[in-house]
Amino acid sequence: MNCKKVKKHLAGYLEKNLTKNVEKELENHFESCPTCSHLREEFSQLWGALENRERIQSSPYFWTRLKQRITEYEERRNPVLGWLGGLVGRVRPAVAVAVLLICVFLGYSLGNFSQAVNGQTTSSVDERTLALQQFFDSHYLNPLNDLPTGSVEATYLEMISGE
Amino acid sequence: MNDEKLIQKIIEKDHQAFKLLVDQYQHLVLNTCYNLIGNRPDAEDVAQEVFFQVYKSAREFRGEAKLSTWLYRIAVNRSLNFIRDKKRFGWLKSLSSLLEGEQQKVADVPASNSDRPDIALEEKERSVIVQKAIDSLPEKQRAVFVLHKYEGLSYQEIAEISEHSLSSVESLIHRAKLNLQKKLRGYLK
Repeated sequence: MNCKKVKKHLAGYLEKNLTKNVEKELENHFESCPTCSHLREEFSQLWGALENRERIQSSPYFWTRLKQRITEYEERRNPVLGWLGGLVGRVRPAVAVAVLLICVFLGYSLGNFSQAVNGQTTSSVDERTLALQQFFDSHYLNPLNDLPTGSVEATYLEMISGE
Repeated sequence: MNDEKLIQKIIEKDHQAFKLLVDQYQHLVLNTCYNLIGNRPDAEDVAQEVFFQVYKSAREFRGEAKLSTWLYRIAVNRSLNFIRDKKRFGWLKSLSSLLEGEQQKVADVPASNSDRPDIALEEKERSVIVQKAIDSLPEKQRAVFVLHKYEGLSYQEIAEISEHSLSSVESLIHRAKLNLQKKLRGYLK
């Protein structure tokens, strides 16, 4: 076997695809020809690199990138929902502050309201007592103050005072 | 969860189910793209495209073949399209690189495991030669060779993915091997 034929059969030799006879011929040739023997070594390394390619790992951001892309895609498909979603996201802090302010205002208003009701009740009782006193003074009826509470006379007096 | 349930959930836009699919198949898709394209950043971009297409067109999966077969088919088609576009518009990219003064990118190969720099360099050189030889194959031969050699798929599985007959696949792989031998012999000193 000559050097040209050996070169042609190198891959078959490395993959063990040759017949026993051809394989034997090649091995005999390698023993006698240092050039082809060296060639076999080189080709074996190249063929090895072809056989044993390393597998690569994806980057840690693979999923993050993909998720971002599908989110954008869904927003493009549903522009109204996307806009609303974006709007809710953007105005969320403002809404929270507004709700807080409304609660504070309502609390303050409720507090003032109960105070005003209490004040109004007190002042109307005071006015009534004062008017009764003035009525008694103007008609010289002070002695009637001593009438027993719940008696017919006291009840009549209350009725005519109009209060 | 089986493939059909997973796809059904993806059709319903369930992101968790989609993440499950990506976690399960990203290694397969990425390495198929990488072995066809021979460049890591581009392979990762194409792998993203593959999963994006899966998300968009999950309804097209009819469940007649395995999910992996469908994914391999999309990955191979997308990678071959990428290579074609790169060839077609390569001159434009070269022109822009020239104008921007960008340096020629060195072929992207995985780092060597060797501690010795001389051996590591030799291994890197060999990887570049092998990648060039694979790149020089016609696209059909390249696709079936990669699926057979690096993904370890049977001729039958490759026939389903590539939608060729079994005999065509056998013939393509045989011719790819002969071509590679020829190319690699050309690199011997």
